[in-house]
Amino acid sequence: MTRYFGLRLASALPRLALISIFLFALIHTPPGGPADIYAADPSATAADVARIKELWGLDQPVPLQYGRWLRNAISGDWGQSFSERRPVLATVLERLPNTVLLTASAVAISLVFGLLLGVLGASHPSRAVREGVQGAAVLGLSVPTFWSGALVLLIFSANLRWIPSGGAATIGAPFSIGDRLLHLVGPALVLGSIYIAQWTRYLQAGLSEVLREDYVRTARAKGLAGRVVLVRHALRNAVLPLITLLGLEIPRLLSGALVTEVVFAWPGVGRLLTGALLQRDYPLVMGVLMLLAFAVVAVNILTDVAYALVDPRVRFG
Amino acid sequence: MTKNSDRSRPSLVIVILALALAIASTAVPSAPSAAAPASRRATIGLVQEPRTLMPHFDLLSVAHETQNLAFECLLAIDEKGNYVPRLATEVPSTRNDGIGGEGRTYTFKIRNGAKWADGRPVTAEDVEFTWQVITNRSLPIPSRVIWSDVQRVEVVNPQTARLHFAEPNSGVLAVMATDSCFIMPKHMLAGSDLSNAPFHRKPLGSGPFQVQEWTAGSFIRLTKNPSYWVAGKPALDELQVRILPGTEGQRAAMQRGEVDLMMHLTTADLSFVERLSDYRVVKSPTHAQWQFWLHNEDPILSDKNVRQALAYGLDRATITKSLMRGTVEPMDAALPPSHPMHNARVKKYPYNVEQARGLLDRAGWVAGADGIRRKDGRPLRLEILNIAGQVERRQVIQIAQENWRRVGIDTTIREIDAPAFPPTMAQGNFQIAYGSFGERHDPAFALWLGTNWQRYRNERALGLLRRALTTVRRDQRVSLVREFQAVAAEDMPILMVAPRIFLNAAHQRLDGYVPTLSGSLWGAQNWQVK
Amino acid sequence: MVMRRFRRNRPAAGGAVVLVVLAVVSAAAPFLATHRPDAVDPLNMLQGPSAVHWMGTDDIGRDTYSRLLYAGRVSLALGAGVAVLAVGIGATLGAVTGYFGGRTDAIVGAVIDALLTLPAIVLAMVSGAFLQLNTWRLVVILSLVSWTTVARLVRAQVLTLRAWPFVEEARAMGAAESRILFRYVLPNALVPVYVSGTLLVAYAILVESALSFLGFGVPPPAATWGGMLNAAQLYYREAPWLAIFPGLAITLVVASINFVGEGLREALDPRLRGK
Repeated sequence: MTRYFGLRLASALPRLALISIFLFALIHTPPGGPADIYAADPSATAADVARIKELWGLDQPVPLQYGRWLRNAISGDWGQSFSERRPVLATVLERLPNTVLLTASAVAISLVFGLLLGVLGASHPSRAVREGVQGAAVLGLSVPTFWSGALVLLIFSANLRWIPSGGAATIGAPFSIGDRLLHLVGPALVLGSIYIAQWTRYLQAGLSEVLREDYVRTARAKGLAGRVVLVRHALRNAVLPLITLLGLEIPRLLSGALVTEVVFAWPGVGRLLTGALLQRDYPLVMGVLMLLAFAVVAVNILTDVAYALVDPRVRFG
Repeated sequence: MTKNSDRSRPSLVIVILALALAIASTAVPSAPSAAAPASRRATIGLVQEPRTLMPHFDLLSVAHETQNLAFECLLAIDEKGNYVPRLATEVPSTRNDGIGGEGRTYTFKIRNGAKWADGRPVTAEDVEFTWQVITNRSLPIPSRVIWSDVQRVEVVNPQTARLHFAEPNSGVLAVMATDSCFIMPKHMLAGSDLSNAPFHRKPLGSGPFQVQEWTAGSFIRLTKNPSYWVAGKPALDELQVRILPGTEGQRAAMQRGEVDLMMHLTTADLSFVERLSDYRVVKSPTHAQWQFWLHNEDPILSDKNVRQALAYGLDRATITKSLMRGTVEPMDAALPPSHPMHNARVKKYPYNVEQARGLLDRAGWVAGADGIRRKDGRPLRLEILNIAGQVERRQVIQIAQENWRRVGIDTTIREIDAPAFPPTMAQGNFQIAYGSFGERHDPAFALWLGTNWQRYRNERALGLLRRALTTVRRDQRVSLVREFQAVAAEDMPILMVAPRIFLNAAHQRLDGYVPTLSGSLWGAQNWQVK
Repeated sequence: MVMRRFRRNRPAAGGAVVLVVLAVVSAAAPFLATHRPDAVDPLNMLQGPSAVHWMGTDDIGRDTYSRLLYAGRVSLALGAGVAVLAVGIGATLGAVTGYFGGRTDAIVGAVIDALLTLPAIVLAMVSGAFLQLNTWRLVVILSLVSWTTVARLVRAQVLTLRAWPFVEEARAMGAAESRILFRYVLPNALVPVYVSGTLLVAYAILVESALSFLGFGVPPPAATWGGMLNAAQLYYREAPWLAIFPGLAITLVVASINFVGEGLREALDPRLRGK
């Protein structure tokens, strides 16, 4: 088990190395850059701008810059943010838990609702209900989140006053789970809504298929009650691929978080990235992107492990 | 059945673990919070987060405004536009011997009792240190205006600092009261690596409030500076600065009455705020305007007729009436009416399609079959440079495009990111560019003698400004600057559209909110909450 | 057979009809529009729907209905462009790697793995921030970050198909390997790609709208539904129709595409045949 985990981790390294090279080149090669901002001051000379480039190591050829970035990154030094002027790692790590919390909550919400709706959509005797669930699921997938998010704020925060207008916690108030959850529910629901739809569809399709399989029919013929068949045989087989899917969907979940964080003023890494991009804050952009990549890889491995634990056919080795 | 639930547990466990971990790790114990009661605190909403609170390192207006709470300048400008002393005891003038050498020296006496938040006194050495920091060419400082002209800062005694200039300089007072004016604590910063000091996130100043905690992406919490030099001030114990990036979030916060002051609204927010009975709209004064930079050395735009045709062909009255919701009027002078040196009697360019067409005819641009004018077979096509991302800018440009098409000028838009704008302009890599520019209170030359991105080369006009810069007597200065505006309006080097105003929404319970040219939050020490 | 089963699926058939109608309407925008899409009329801004302006006017007085038609062209073309390009890249690379294996397979596999570590929208944002964006560049960027699923699908199909008897037969008859691949194997391997290709259209339209919101969308004068919806956020209360129409357009198209994709999947699935 540990060995399996270790192997998977090692096999992820080339992946991360490759994406880091790609990103570094994409960010550093286009003309212009963060030092150019300082050319706008009428008293600034070319030498002044060159000095700032030197200060930030931007005077070197890009491959050399990458080499240095990589060496430092491996030793835990992710550089200094140009705009925030503090270590990149600290800057990103301060925000990352918020994004993890948001995405994890969205996953939890979407799994719960997705399972319920999926089962309903697959096994309800009424065709109208089944098709209604399917239609609702697809609609949930189709609404742009910045629109639905704003509507949620408009209705539930501005008008009904059920949820706060944004942020992750009440300022200055002592920590309380209730307060946190109240701030979390809006963005998590909006972000989760896409995935409620996603899971519902997959589960509905998977279950319907399984329900047609011979062994289920046999079980039914043997007189087992419908619900027992559903839970004992069908659901189990339909849930398995969901775990893999969860791993695959993580990048898309993170991209949804980018939008949700802005709408709900949620202090996550997505907003950090948008700001860093607009500021041409190279080290911060690299830091956020690589940490996101790490997160994705980690979740992939975790879901693989989870899959292996659930499915006896997969052997660690 | 039981077997089944066993098997699906791991994924559930992972999710729960991750959740617990995340909640726990975001629950970083904050600074001893004990929030002040509602009557002793106020909340400010910002649409954008400052990137650093170290003065002089960030040109964002939200950074300047937030620094206004924790730092102070030698001078300030009050709501009537007059200079008033702040850290200094008086405004330097020739009468009080504060200005000497015909404008070559400025002497500032530091207020007795002015203290940094840690209790140490503010001294002349801090002024000298501030100058050293701003002019340190190894530091990434985006603007060194005026300070870079200072030859040396003489510490006459601990309470007196004297700025020496090689040439007479009439722009010192405005800079000491507005943009690059915050005095920095030498005892905190001397000898440290200012590029990356923790001070960027946890600054210490002499202002009425001090930064207690800054939770990135969420809020900045400031509390009363106990050693503030005005007795009984600040009136409030705590200020909370909330970062609200989304439009709907801002509006929900206002509708719920959560913010006492929502800063930097757009004109599109006006009708919303006006319907909220708890809020009033407050215009924050500036000397900025929206304008089209015209590249005066461009082959097409170097012709004055074309530049004037662009002005006559732009329906600015409609833009201000509709898009800007009547908050401003079109302007023609190089300085907005709010500016004390504004010249109201310059050449005007009311919307006049016929006049614009006539000027283009005279310039040799003849209307083609498709309605676009041509000269020597080349179409009259111009590119408009814009900063990406802002809805309002695009709206104005799209109206301008339609207006100009009517007189036979074809335009295209090129959008670039905000950081790329200044260097692109400085390199002259544009034809027309839309944006805003804010001038100083007195004198007002940054647009012309400073950047001069428009490449305006009328030596007679620029000479007037250069003379004004070295003229100490204000009345003489004013007439020079007014004459410049008259000449420039005829030349049309920049097409002025309208003054830019900053709109803020203040809650009725907030008392004492008076924005001035020194900033919107300049007077926060006087705020009270009813 | 496939067509018949597809048509029997009511949501899918409905979705297909909606898509065809919207595509035709967008293509015929110059004939159906009541106004020029960029004709401004600032004094009549934010007007509600009326006989003159069927869907009201926007914040500089442009006719929302006419703009919606023209924006539909860009949005649909963008979605279709991304789907075609991504399927092209993905199918070619997937087929080549699946059929020939070896070093190419390893390299492409590594690139896919690397691309999958980051959300496509993030890659598009980074590219957009550092390269000048326009509609076509956005199509290319979105294709370059979303071909991976197609490549994987095709590769898996080709792996199975290349062991089939008809491939052996073709080889025995002396056909060149590349000919076998592109003539015999690939067409058969493309079946599941129809579904994911269809879904890519929806995906691209949604991603473009999110990019617009984040400030990395298609710059003017090109209007997209996403861009219109984003510009409308200042007027959700004052002029809700500005958001409702482009929002509905996006939702309708994306939902229809999903229904069609679902229908295609069912119609093409051999396991469901003869049911």
